[in-house]
Amino acid sequence: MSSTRPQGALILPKLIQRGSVILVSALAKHPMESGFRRTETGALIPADLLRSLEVSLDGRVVFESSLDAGLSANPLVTFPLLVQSAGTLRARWRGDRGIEVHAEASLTL
Amino acid sequence: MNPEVPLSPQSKALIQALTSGLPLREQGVVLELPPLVENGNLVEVTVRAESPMTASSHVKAIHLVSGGNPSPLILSARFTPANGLAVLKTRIRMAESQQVLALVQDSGGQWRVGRRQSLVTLSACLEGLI
Repeated sequence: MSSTRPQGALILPKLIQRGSVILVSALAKHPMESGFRRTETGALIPADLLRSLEVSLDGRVVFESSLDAGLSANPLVTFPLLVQSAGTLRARWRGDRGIEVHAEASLTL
Repeated sequence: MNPEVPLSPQSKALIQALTSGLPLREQGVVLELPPLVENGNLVEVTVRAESPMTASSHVKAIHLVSGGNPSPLILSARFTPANGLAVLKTRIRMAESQQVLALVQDSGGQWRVGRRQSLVTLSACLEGLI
């Protein structure tokens, strides 16, 4: 049995320089069940989606996005960040049925 | 050139609601999407909007809209000058051949759009499970 527990990750470049713009990838392990699929017997499979992503650097929000059914399973969102200082990046995804997924990465210069 | 696939009524209504009917300029927004998609369950998409990303002139939001999925809004991402660039990459589902649009909202209140069309040979599952 594989684990279905949601997990998240923040992926950063290996070398980061102050003043540069880096691309940060936020990846969550989640089926993103769209709510439009049916089982073999025709029953609609209820939606089970992550609905939002918020990424902060030392508590200051640096990226926010809504998420919806048009995203692939295991949603990956990559965004730019102008690096001014080192710190801790934290991502929080929120989804249906009160689910929360968290990830953390250290931004070091 | 394939003929343009028309936008679904839901996606037209969404674009109208997002922009409050303001004009959409086709300028400085590049949407990268493969022209031919073999598997609509996972399609890489990149949006790049030209912007100085300064306090006085920056991209405030990028909305990714599907012209042919049952749910037209794929995501809405907020941007600030702290992002440095107005770029967004993600992976989307495509239920059928369609246009995908990136609506870009600038800090001055103007709207821009970039769009691409893909031919989908295997759609993202809407039907039975395997």
